[in-house]
Amino acid sequence: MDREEIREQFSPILDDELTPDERAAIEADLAQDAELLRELHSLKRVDELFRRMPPLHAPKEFEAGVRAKLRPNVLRFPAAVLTRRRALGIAAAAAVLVLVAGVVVIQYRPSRTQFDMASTKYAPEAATAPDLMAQEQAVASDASPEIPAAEAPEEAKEQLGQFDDFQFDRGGSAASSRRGGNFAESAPAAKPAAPQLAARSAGGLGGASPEVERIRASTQTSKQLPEGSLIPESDKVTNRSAPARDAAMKDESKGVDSRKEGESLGYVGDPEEASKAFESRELDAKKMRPLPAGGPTTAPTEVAASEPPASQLSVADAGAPAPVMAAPAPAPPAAVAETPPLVSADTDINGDAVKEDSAWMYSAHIENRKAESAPSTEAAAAPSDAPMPAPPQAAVKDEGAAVDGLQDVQAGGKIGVGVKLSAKSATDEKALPDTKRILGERVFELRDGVWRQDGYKDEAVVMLDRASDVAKQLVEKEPALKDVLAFDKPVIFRAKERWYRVEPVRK
Amino acid sequence: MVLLKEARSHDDTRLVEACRRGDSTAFDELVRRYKDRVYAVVYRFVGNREDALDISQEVFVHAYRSINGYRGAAQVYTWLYSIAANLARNRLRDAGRRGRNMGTSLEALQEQAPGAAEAGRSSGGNPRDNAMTSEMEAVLQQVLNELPEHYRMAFVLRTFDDLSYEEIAESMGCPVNTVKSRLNMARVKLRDRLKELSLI
Repeated sequence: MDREEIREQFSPILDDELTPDERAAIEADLAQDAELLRELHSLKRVDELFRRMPPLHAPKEFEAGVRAKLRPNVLRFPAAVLTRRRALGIAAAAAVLVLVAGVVVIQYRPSRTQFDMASTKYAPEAATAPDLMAQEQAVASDASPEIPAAEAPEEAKEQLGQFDDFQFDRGGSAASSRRGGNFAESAPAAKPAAPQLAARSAGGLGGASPEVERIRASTQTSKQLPEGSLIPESDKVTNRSAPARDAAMKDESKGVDSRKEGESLGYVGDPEEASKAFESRELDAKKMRPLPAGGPTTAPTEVAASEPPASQLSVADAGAPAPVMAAPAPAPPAAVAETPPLVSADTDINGDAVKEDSAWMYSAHIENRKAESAPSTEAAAAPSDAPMPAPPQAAVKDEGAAVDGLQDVQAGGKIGVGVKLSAKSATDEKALPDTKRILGERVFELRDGVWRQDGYKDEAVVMLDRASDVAKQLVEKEPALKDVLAFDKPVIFRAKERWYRVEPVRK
Repeated sequence: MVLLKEARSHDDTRLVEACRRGDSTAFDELVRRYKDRVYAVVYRFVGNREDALDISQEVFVHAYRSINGYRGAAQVYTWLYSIAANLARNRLRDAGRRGRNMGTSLEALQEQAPGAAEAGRSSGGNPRDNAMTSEMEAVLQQVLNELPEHYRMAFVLRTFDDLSYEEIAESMGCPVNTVKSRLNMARVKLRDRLKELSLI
């Protein structure tokens, strides 16, 4: 027997599984091989080690456990199946519940994106947007046939896109895209509402709307643009940002600011610096020469888009200027303090770390939807879409104060909000409805007691407290918002790619 | 000894017959008779109390359910061990698929020495000796756990329940020679491992 065969018999030797003859034969071989014998002894030690392990006993609860396991199986096997089915049903129901809850959470999460999605989905105006665009484009092309309407503004927007504080237009927004790329429309000029647009496009006079014709006529007597000027008419007149206009108007209206001191709303920032900065960027971007001195002018869009040069619409034409939007006087802190905080929005301008009250947002959203669904008789009755000034008095008083502002316009030819017209055109403003206001580049329309910036399509809004830091930051970035915040009624405006709603000052 | 085994086997066959007739006390007697052996074997095979208790209880539940399938050709305990071996192997494979780790932490080692702890409690001996015994038991159990399943089962059935090769073959459903070789391999592997640990 060789060594391997002997090794194979080690276990039987240890387990006493060999016959006496087999055992005797192997023991004889092992006696002659000490190494194999040592191996056998080592295996025996292993066996002894494990056999010395203490014996184990089943726990006391063993039998009870067996009975417990047996009982349901023997007596209630069908019940076990039923339980499994029931468990499956419960699991399915739970899964459905989780899904529904997830959908609900996603639907009503206080995220602006979600609200935008929701509002887009339900926005009643969505279907009419293409029509509006077509109408606006028609109006724009009619009003400025000699100006490549879509080129200059797009270029300017591209180059100045980063200067969000001095936007030509609310580029990228639905509202701006709806404007058909006409740069003139980004000016502080009439921003026609949908019904008015329809009326204008339908009732054009020689290709231009009556409104355009009216304003064009009113500016015919003004100075003409020097021939060969590199300044596109639209730019000269319209591509002024609100700060620039404000600064210009401030200069022009020293001593005649009708704003009461106590009515200042806490404007923060230096509009003159902003104006200069913007002007330099603007000119650099458009590679144009500066406007003539004394020509910081603003005019309605149609005026700019049609013919009159910027200089024709200068301050001189307007007589005593009325710097409604301009001349942002330093705000006494008391004025801000007087304004009771409505809702703390605490919304970061950049959209970061936004603490938005979802309930507020959603309620506003619903409210706006309701408002949108109701036809606005005011808007329909508006005979004209000419700029409607929003004098500061009107901004901080009740709605009747707006009439006072209009009377100011009639008396002194003052058109506020950075828009200056000739005396004649100002007189024409008598016919303008009091449901429209133009503040800087923003056009507001009063519908259902809420001033809505043009382009607002029932999106979710962020409730903004005018005394909040967010409001101050917004005003700092865009001084024109100071007057927006002073509206006499709730106002919805767009800033920093968001729609904000501000409640009126509570007297 | 042989006579005792034969008497017990005869007794087991009667108990099984009684169980088939619906005598629940006969099944209770069967459980009482083999619970410790089944539990010990399963414990040494799976290496932890929780699984050992559950599996060994399941062994009797399965036996009860399949009592009509028992033909009496094998011993009752080999039949029970065959059930135990299958259930334990399945449990270990499930644990392996789930990534369950039969850890060797101190708690695990203490759990792997239930016999020593039990012996210490009952004898009230020297705590140091008890601790040593407990530690050795835990180490040996861990070494045992490292054995391949088929080696381990054969070794456990032989070492801790003193089954013959035929009985082990019956329980494991393999030839006697296979049992012999498995036992041989198990012992060699254990020896090598214990040498590594300087325990022999």
